[in-house]
Amino acid sequence: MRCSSLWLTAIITAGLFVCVQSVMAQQGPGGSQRDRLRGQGRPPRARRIPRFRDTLKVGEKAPDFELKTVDGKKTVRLSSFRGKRPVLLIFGSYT
Amino acid sequence: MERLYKAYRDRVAIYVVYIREAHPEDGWQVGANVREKVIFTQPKTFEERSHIAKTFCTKLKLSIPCLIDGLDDKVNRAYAAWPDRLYIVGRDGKIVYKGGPGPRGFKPSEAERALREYLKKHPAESADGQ
Repeated sequence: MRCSSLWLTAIITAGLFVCVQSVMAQQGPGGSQRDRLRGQGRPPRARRIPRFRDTLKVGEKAPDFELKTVDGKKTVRLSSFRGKRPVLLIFGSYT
Repeated sequence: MERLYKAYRDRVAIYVVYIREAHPEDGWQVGANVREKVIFTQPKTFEERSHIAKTFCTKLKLSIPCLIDGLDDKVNRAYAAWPDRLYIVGRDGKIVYKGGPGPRGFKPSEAERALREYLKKHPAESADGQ
């Protein structure tokens, strides 16, 4: 009799532990879900925000690059405009 | 930006360079994006990134041609472009204008002034770039 009630306590404790764990996992590292949806949560992990060293100066040579167009059909090389046209680069993402 | 493109496309090469997401779902998501249902996770492969870039360039009905930075963020890194930024490169391949990092430093009107000034000083006829 005493043995079975011990088992019962153990099982209940284990169950509670699992519940708490899963709730914590859902909330994630960046505060609660609600905070994140409101946009008030801080960036979850600092390392996800890239910090690229800002070293270029006006008058310096622009680093050359060759990138694919969004349809994947063409590549565009920055230096291909040299001596022809100035280039306006608009860097950005969707979000 | 669209207006800028239409006004200068005959004299200036203009490109949108799609770089890594600023506010992905698995990063620093912001409320405005949730409201507008602009929810993406940070792409892990070039295909994923190019898929989002495609959505971005077509949804916003951009007529400006779009380029995609590689998953190595090489161009992003070289230009410290994240999260958004404007640059003008002269005919000689040198930087004419460098905007501040966005969103605060992202100023199309400032870039346009710089572009107008550049075109005035360096008209197309003397395309040798100094």
